[in-house]
Amino acid sequence: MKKIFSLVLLSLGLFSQGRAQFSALGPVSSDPAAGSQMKSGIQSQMAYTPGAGNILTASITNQVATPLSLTADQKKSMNDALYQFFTAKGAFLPLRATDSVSYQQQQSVLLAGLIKTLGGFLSVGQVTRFVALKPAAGTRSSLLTIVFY
Amino acid sequence: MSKIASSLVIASLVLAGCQKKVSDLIDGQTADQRLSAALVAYQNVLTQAPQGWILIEHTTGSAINQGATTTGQQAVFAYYVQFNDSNQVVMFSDFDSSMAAAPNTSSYRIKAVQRPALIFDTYSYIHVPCDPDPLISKSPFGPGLGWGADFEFSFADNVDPTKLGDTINLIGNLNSSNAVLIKATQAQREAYFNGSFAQSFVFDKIQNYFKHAFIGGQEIEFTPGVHSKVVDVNWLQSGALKSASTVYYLTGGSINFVNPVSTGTQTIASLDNIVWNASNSTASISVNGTGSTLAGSITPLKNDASAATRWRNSALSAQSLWVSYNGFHVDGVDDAFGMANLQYNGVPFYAYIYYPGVFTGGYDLLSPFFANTATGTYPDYVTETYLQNIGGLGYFELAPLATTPAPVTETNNLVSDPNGFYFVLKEDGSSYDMVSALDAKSWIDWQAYN
Repeated sequence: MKKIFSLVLLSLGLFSQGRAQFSALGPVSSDPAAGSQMKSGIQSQMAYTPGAGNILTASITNQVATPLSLTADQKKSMNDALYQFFTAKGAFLPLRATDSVSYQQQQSVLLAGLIKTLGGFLSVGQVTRFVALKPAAGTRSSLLTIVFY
Repeated sequence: MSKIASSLVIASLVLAGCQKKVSDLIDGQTADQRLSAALVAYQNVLTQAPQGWILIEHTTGSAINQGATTTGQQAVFAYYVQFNDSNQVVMFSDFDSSMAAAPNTSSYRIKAVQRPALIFDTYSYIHVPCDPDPLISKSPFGPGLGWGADFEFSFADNVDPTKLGDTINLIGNLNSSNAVLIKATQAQREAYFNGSFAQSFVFDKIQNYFKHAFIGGQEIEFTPGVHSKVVDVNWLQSGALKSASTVYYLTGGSINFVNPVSTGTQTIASLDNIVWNASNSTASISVNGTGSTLAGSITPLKNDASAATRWRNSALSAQSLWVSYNGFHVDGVDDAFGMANLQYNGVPFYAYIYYPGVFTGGYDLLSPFFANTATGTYPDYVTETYLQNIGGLGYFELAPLATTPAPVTETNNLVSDPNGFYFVLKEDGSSYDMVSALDAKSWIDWQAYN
């Protein structure tokens, strides 16, 4: 009886040791290989496909598609126009932090160019509705803020 | 016949030659008897300390799992332990305030391994920093390792157990952590059992990121270190911000610094006589025998006005990103929005990411990233943002690309707070903490990922 009791105690002891120091639990937050995808994952979503845009232009296009009643062809053109717009904006975006006056000037010119481009594939009414979608200054949580400001 | 007789004579000579003529007894005892007596003597030493013991364990900065060694952050864990002769031990731990408040009873053995050893043989507070689950051990070493702490220790003093004094040195059997048992005083014992020890977790109780005290004529600031159980100590010297970092542990009513901090005019080794004042969320302390008050602050001792810009630009120029594995700490709660519980298409949360300039046009990305061993992915609701440094604080404008789940919505609401954020470069020289300028009660830590 004593031997059985000792064996039970021994096995319990071994089990407790395993739990605390030796067992390899599954990873609680997996350690990827996938770590490298923290960069490549979003870079692939940023890759630009003519007509389909990328994750940013497609999100904005989807956001305006219903209020502007965009056709499939207009969506493709919208993606292309937004991509050209943001690519150009990247050249002066850092001025926001250092020279806001210059930034505003260049943004106004670029936005006017975008609206002119939109007039090439949208009706006058659609362009008017697009301009009306301009959020109030300082509005957070609207992607259109980065188009209009 | 003569051959038989000769054989018998030889055999008897051989047997006579094997006769034991020299006793191997010492003090009349066999080796087994002496070993048993020694183990009893060790147990008597442990049990015959009426006020119990303070056990302080220093890890070496390495952790072993299945023969493989991983190196990392050193840590110190402090316990109160009281052994009885029924192989039970009652303990408190400084691992967190709950383990400081509620005693835990488990079992122990004194056993001869390669040396006489003290073995905590059922799961107890001492096992928590050894736990292979980082969610339990809070270890930065990753799964399977804990902090490189031990729960089996060999007696390391080369003296007869009956000659052990008030301090007993131990060494961990697996990770070789260094531990010391120090006989507790009655006052120390009472501090653990009357709850005042639990009240000394003032670095946690004061919910502001910045904690200030006037000590020896200097204003000293304490902020969370890069890892658990590390504190950064800051002070001004000729107008310049000076900093030091130290591992700390708690005993009785004291916070003890493993590396005493020299601030030019004084050396701070511990904060003592800590008394928590819940009515105004401050703590009375004494340092080097002089009283002071430790209180939260919503502003840093000195703001690093260019830190927000450096934070963004350093990642931008290096084509790297900032990663937080913890989500936001808010009002004393780690990962207050439950980011770690998120999943995306069945893939668990891995990290919260800031990736500057990655969007077309140079906008930044804020998003949880999901990964398992097979895949890593961003959700469709990544958030576009842009960080600006205005007046020495960082401000985010942001917009998610699709509808976000609650933890991300709450995180975005906090990040876009119009009060902005302090950016604090940590003592490791590479990590940053981003601290809400509203009340300094919300912050997130960022590590560079290249």
